[in-house]
Amino acid sequence: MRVFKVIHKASLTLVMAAIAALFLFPIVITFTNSFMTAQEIDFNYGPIGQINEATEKGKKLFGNLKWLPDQVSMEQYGKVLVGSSNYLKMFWNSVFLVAPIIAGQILVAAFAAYAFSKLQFRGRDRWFLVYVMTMLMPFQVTLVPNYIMADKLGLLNSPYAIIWPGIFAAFGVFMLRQFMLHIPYAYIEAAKMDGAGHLRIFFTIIVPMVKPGLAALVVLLFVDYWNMVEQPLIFLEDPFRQPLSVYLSRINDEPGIAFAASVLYMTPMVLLFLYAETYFIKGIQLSGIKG
Amino acid sequence: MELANEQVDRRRKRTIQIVFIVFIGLLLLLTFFGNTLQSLTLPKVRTEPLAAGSLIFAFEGSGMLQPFTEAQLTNPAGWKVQKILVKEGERVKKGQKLIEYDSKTAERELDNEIASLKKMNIELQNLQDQFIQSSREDDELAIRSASRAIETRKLDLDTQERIIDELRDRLASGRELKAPFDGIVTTLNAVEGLASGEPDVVITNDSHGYRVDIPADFALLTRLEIALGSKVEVEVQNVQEQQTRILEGTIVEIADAEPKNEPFESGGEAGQTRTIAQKVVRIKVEDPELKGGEQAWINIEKRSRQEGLVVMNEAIHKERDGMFVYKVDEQRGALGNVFVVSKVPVQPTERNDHETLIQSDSLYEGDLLILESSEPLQDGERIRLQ
Repeated sequence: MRVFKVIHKASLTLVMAAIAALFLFPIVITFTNSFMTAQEIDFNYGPIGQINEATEKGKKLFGNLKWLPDQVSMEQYGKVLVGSSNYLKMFWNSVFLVAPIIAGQILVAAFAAYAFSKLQFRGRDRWFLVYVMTMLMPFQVTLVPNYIMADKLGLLNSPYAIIWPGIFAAFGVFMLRQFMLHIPYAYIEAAKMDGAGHLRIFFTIIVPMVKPGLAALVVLLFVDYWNMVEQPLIFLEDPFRQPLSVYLSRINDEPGIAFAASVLYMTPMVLLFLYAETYFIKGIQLSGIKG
Repeated sequence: MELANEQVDRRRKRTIQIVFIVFIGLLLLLTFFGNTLQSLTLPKVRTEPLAAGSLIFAFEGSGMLQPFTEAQLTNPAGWKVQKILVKEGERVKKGQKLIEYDSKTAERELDNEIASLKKMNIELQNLQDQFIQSSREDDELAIRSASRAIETRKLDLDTQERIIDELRDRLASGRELKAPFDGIVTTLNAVEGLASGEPDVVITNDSHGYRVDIPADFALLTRLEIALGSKVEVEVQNVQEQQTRILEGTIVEIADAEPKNEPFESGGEAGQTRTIAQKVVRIKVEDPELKGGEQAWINIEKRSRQEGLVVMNEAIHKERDGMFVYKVDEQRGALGNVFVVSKVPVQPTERNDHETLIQSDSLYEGDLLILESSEPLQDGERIRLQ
């Protein structure tokens, strides 16, 4: 029986390790290949860009996937960080798009979620449903009205065309409301009895309690907006204003620096995730009541 | 247990924080200094703005003024010098005695010849006596023979007289050296007691003016339309007085000279040379204050008829398809402007020693052209301006 248990556990671990390896594989490859020289990349992955045309004796050519570079070189990093000012410019474009969206949406969502979960007013749940409806629709559906509105407001080709809709997106409200619903009303009642107003209740009771939720929201928003491609592509015509995600979508033009560019691109995300990981996991427990 | 976990967690977060700050700091640093860093590795170039205009052709040169006519007086008879009557630098008049030669041998020879003339005269008288004698004897044959002898002797006498005349002439001319014209003794090679092979006296005539010889490229002369008889300004500086004057000179001679071999400019293969036809321009200057030996400069400038873009010769490069220049293109970048090399073919029309006149559709006045670079350049390469 015990042997069976051990085998069961071992096989489960093995399967999980295999799945984890499968998921990690692209990241590891990207990281190791970022130290390749441009020539090596061209030699190994040259056919990828023109995969449809590149046929040899009727056989399609594929890239030659390599784990380790023949020669470790910082050439790609040098090119990306020093050789071309575009990359860094776009990196900061991304930062200046994502940071205000996250800050704004956290603020708006936290207040709105407090209202939708803890305040009693007429039609509260209906209003909430209407608000959340916008989230249920995919971006592509609201694209045209969004574009027309941005145009009317004179926001086209300006980062505000992305920042404002981002700040008032419904996802944060929905998520934080779910968190706050799990906070028993008794806390608020107790605070009210002690004479606390809404602001005080919000900042001293609610915020500390939904901290894991806020952390999770920050991570999710960061990943979402750091990776957005369609919005900037549509709202920002000037290539010098577009964020890194758009640049990376065009990396085929310069395969020689693709890996280093990708590593630098995912670094902030990975660091943020590692930092907020504990909150993230705690956030899943949702509740403020122990036991 | 939980406390320990929390500590581990806190330490981990701290590490991530540090990594994050370092990452962002590095990117910030590179954002601000990336361009500077990169520009340090770029080839450095020296440029010059392109100017519109015409070329200036200049014929420049200098030389020492020399008297226009000069006579080299040699020892006429090859006799030893007896006495030198002048000094170097002395001004002499026409016909003035310069050198006396030792003529004793010739005089003795003359005396001998005169003596033999006398002897011949005596012999003639003897023959005439013989003739009279024969006439008296009425010996026809003897008379004829005597008369023939008299004729022969007379001819001999004539010859002897001529020899003596010639000797006298030689004595008269060879005894001394006279100045053929008014002038200055510039060189005196004669040494008393010796018969030198060189001209004994060199005498120059300053009444005909002075000359200066200046070498020039044939093509340049043609372009400047310099011809015989044209007037030019000559700047003359006296070496002692350190004072310059502008005089008018005349081109009196354009003579052929040894062609010059010159290596090709940039673009040509090393070791290859081209031949340039050379001329020597002789300019005559007249001025009473000139003494000869002064330094003379001339500078003739002329603008080319054609107008176009003027570039330094260094900026023009050669390749198989023709000539080209490297232009600096300014590309507007996100974080400042970037300078890039662009190769522009050009059609040179005229050139002088420093500049070339070019025609090009894609070049404009004010464009920066690269004269020199720290590394070989390529089209499209980024560069750093000096």
